[in-house]
Amino acid sequence: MQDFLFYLVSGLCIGSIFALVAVGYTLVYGIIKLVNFAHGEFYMVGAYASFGTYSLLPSSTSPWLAIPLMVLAGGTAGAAIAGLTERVAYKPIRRSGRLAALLTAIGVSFLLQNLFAFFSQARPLQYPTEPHGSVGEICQRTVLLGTDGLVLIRFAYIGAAVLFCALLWYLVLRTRFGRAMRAVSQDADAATLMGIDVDRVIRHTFLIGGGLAGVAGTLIALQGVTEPMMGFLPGLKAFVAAVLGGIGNIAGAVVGGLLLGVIESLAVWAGVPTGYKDVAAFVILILVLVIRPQGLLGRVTRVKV
Amino acid sequence: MSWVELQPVLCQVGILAILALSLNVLCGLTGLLQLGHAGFYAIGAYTAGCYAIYATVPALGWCNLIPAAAAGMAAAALCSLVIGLPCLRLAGDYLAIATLGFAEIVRLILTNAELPGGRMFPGETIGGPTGIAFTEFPGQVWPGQEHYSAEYATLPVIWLGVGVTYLFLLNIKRSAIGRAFLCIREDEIAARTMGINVPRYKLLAFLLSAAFAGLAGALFFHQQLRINPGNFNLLKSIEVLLIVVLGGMGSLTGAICAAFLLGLLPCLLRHLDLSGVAFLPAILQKPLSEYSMLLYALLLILLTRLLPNGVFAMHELPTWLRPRPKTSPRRKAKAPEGRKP
Amino acid sequence: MKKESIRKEFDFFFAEGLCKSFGGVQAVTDFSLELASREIVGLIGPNGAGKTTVFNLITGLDQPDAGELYFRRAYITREPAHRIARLGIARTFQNIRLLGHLSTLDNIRVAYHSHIRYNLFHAALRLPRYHRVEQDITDKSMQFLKLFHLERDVHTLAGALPYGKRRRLELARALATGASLLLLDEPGAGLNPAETVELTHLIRRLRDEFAVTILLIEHDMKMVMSLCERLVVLNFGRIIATGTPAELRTNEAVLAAYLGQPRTPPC
Repeated sequence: MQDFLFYLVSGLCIGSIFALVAVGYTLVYGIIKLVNFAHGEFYMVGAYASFGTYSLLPSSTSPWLAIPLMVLAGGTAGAAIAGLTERVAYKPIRRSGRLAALLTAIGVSFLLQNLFAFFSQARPLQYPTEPHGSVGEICQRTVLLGTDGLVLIRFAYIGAAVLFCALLWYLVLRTRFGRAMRAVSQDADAATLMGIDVDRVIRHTFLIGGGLAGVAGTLIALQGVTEPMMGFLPGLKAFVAAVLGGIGNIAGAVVGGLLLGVIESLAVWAGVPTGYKDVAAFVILILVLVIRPQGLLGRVTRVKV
Repeated sequence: MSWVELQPVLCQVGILAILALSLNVLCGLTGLLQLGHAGFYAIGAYTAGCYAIYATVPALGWCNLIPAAAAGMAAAALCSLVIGLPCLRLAGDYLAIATLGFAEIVRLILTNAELPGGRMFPGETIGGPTGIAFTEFPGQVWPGQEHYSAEYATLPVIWLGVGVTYLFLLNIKRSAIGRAFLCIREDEIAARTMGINVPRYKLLAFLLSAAFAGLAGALFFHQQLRINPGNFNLLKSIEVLLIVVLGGMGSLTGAICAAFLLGLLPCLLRHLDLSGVAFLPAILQKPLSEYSMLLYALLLILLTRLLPNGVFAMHELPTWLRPRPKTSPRRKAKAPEGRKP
Repeated sequence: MKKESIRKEFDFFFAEGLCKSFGGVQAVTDFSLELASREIVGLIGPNGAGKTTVFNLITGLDQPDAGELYFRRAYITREPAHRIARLGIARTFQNIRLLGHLSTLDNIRVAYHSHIRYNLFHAALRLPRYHRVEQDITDKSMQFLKLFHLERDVHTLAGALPYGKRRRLELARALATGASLLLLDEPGAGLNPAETVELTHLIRRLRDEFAVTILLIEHDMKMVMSLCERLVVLNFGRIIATGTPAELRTNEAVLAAYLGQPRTPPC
């Protein structure tokens, strides 16, 4: 039973990360109907940026100052790369159809992965766990949950997810910019006619999504490794989460992310071999697409004849 | 570049061409976006591998290639029904993601599952991350080919496969079936009112596409004799899709030409070396083949922007080579016969 | 029992009590219609009256919530669209749905789909039957193109045709399916008066030569009045009147639907 609690909590933690990334996916999809394959790479860039910040900071910096700084750097870098990608790659092909957009997104994803692989010589980076009290060591500290130790920093995932989702909720539903966003997602042309700067809304949506992915990447890398391919699988899973909740729906992305994290974790608890854990996510993806393509919280859209 | 060096490259080009041709049926003709082609390719290759391990009849010699390829095609086609049937209702991006999910499932299962080694590898297991690896293939080789390892899928065999695939699919493209595919691509609702059974034709496109991907897989196994799940990752699916886009969605000839272009690219890059170029920073001084992944990605982005219809668009010949169509009908048509009530 | 009697009574086409709602909006309510062979019937009504929805229900693109459809003694309610098309109901669309990247000829050849009598292997191996059938449908398609004055555009991509020709091509394609009931959704939309007159003659000629029944939606009252033998008027998804054009010209319900309810001054 205590075992179950451990898996449940660790599932919620990882689910929070999925939720943060999935929210970005869903925002972008909601606005320009693009499956932004490169979203996982924003996450990876965030992780690299925070590692860069860490190595620039003097070693005497208190970890309690360093970690927030790194998260900030990761978020900024994620937002920056997302903004850049939007401007350079997506904006010119916005009117040339879904296939072109999807292919470009795949191309950007591969380009970013390989750029980082090229320049980092494909060496995974890890925060040193020595000496005692350093960032790396703090992030490896565990708390005993049942019989297993749960890495303490994982609770920060939940915290970050709650904080950012609350901010986003406020932004989307309570501000002028949020209203513009919702308008663009329903009908971009009509929004333009109402005097909304659609380009700006799209750009800012990318910035927000990229920022959240960057933060998520930083948090994951704190206790794991930073490497060029790290964004691929979480990116795909976040997409699964977004589809699960109903793509284009922010609350759906959060629910989907948490649900996916918990399902994966409990699958391991229930005795599914770890190697097959990732299969679960894709099986869920196909099942959701087949049984309820609009997702758990999504609404059906009709094609007009 | 010597012939010995070029031969395996041309084999690879041939296999890529079959993959691109088969994907073209689904993406180009029917307009169904598929990101999991490597999954069917893997199924074909592993089925041929399993045939080689469990069912090879040594007396048949190279003829073993035929049942192996047939088994690979059948297995891939069968799996295409498993994934195609539930995914028929999905459109556009959703279908692409579902097929990607399928290919990842296939890859993950291949990475994790292990089978007993059978007669060939007694006491060992096959599968898992190392896949299937033969050092020497049982049975006889092609006459006069002792200096190669015992691969059945030699260059002529692979290109025979390309030719058969090309003709088969081209004939289908130019028939009522191909028109039905194109009609679904252009306008699904119009297709339905023309009496086209849309789900059935989508499934048929899936089936054809997967079967020939299975053929490519079987040939790949017989050419390499060592396969592992890494050969069939998302990158492979993307590479094939890139070839289809480059050649032109719906153009079979274009697919073969583009396969040549992209297949020979890494080979050409290998001979270019930036490591001696003094004015470049140290980190850039690498053989160009290290850049190939970067180039692929850039190519994909630039192509979709600059050449959205590919080199050949959906035609079999580029515009400047196409014969000018005659505006008058070729044959004298008979007078219209009104249907009498 | 009931179905049997209906079949005897209405030989050609019969719709009874069709209802369809979209998320709470009742688009079509209790729509009934019978058509005799070789009739030209107009379906008219203000915008949003549910005319196109009726077409979608008849052709199987939408499934009715209630009601029944019979066509040539066959029960076709909830049959898939392609099967209804095969039985002989073809249609055109308000916003023309041609296959833009295919040639004019191929657009017509697609229509012969249900008459193709060869399979995958005949096609892939180019067996004699493939050549025979293809030659046959190409010839027939050419005849249709001639009839519709499109023979000069055989190899033009349908998307590159001018508007009037696109309308004609779509009509030709619908006819080429071998249908005996044609549903035309605003065939005259966007045509100039001369073209409308030409279209009127063409439609009448098609009825006479090919023995088809035609149900058409049209807003051009001049065309409707001169062409249709019978009219059905829809408003808010309900039939408000039926009759000959002459009868309906003075029908109060129809006038009210088109011009608005005469307002009675509050007392």
